[in-house]
Amino acid sequence: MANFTGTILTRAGRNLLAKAQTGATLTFTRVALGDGILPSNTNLEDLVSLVSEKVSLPITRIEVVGDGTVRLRFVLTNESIETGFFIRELGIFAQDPDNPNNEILYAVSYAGEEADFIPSPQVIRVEHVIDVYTVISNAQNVTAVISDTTALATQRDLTELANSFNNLINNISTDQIQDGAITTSKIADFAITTEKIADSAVTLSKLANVSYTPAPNVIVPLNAEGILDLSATYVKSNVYTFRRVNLTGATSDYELQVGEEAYIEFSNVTSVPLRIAVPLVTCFYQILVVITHISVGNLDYMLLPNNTTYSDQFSCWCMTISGNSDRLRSAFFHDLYSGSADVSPYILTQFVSIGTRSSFVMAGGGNTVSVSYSVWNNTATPWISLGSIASYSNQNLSGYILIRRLR
Amino acid sequence: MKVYAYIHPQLNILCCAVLPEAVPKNIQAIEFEVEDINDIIYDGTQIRLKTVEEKLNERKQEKLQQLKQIFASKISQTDYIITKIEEARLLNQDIQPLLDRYSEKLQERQQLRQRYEELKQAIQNATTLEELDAIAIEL
Repeated sequence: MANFTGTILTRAGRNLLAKAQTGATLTFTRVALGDGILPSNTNLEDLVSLVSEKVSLPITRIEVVGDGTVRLRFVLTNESIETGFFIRELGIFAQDPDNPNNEILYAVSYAGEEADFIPSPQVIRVEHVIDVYTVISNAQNVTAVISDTTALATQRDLTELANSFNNLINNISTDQIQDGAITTSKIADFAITTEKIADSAVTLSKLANVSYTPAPNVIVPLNAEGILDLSATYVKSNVYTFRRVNLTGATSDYELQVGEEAYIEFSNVTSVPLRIAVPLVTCFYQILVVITHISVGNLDYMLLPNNTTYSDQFSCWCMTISGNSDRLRSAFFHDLYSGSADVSPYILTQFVSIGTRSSFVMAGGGNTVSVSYSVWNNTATPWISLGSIASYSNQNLSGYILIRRLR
Repeated sequence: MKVYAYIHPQLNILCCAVLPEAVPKNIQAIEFEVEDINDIIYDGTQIRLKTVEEKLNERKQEKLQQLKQIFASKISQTDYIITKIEEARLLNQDIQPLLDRYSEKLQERQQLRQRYEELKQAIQNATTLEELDAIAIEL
C-alpha cells in the first residue's frame, strides 16, 4: 500500500464537521483513489475533488473509535479498473447535509512519490482490506453508506463474529425465542436427548397443550413399577376392566376401589380374613369363592362382617333341592344342605350390599345347588370391614377368592 | 382357632371376633382357643365354652333338622302317587290298579321312612360327638 501519512480535512470537510457538531448527520459515502500529482505548493485543505480519480470504492464498515476519529474500512480491489495506476491520492467523501445530492470531499491524503502501483486485473487480481482513519471530533451522528455488495472479512472480524455467535448461542433465554419459532419439523429426530435436558428443566407450565390423557393412537407407557396405569385419570376406556390387587396374606384392611378386584388364596384354614375396608354404605361387592378342598363334608359357609359373629342378628333363608331353611344365625349364612355331600369343588358367588346390609348367594357343589339370602338385622353396628369368610363347622378349606367392588 | 368373645354393649348379645383388631375399642374381650367358632356361648351371666353335652345336643338338633330336610326332599318326589291313590278313593274308584302300578315306589317310600326312623333314632342315641359325626345321612 502506498505510504499515506494521514488524512487532512478539506475546508469543505471542516465546514461539514462543524455542522455535524451542531447535530447534523455526518454521512460518509465512499472512498476514492487516484493517481493525480499535486503541485508542490498545493494546500490539501483547498481540494474539493481528487486531481485524477481512478477508482471509487464503497465503505464496508464504519467504527467510531472514541478518540475523536472514525475508522472507515474499504476493500481495495482492482476488478473495476482497466489499466494499472499509481495510488497517489486518497479521498474520503461525505454527503452534504444541506443537499443530499451533493458530495463533499471530506478529507484527503497524498502519498506523492511513495505511491504504490496497482496493476490491472489481467495482470494479477488484487484485494486488500484497508482501514483509513479521519477526524470527526465530537460529532454525535456519524454514519456511512455501507456497501452490501463488497464484503471481505478479516481474521479479526471472523474471530469477533465467532465469539459473538458463541456467546449468543450459549445464552439464549426463553424470551429471546419467538413464540412459534421452534416447530416440531425444525427439530431433527432424536435431536433432543435426555442428557441435553437439565433435571427439572421441563415443568408443566412450560408445556402448552399437554395433558396426562394421551392423544388418540398414542401408546401409553408403563409406570415406574412396569404396570400399565388404567386409572380413569389417565386412560378412559369403554371396556369395563378390573385392576387386580393381591391381598393374599395381607395384614391390614385395603380400601378396594370401584373397578378393583382383590385376589386371595387360602389353604387348609377354617376362616379367611378378606382384609377389605368398607368406606361407604353405598358400597356393593361381588365375592367369588372357589373351594377346591374341604377336609370333611357338610360345608356351611359364613361371611362374618367386621370379622365378627353377632348372635342371632341375621335372618337367613336358604333354598336347596333338599329343602328350605329359615333361621336366625350369627353371620351371613349359606348352606348347600345336602348333608355330607358338600364336597369340593364348591363354587359360590355372593353379592353383598353394605347399604341394605344383605347378602345373596348362589352356589353349587357336590351333587346339589342352592341359593340363599341373609339380612343383618342390626343396623346400629357400623360395617367397617367386609369381614372374613369361615366354615361353620370347623372344616379346613383350601381355594381362592375374588372380590370385586362394583359400586 | 383363636376367638375373641365379648358382649355387644348396645345389643347385649355375644359377639365373636376372629381377629383381635376386630374387637371394638374399650371393649373387654375374652380370648378362646377353639376348634369351632360356635363352641362359645353366653348363658346370660358369663361367656364360656359350651359343655360337651350342650355341643352334642346342639349338633343333634342340627343333624335331625338336616335329616328331616333330606327325608322330606326325597319322599316328596313320590308324593304324586299318594295324591293319585287318595283321589281315586275319594271318587270311589278302584285303587288296586294304582297300588299294583306303583307298588315298587310305595315300597321305596316305606323303606325311606324306615331308614329315616333308624337314622333319627341313631342320632338321638349318640352319646359322643364322634359317634354323631360318624352317622352319614344317606337315604
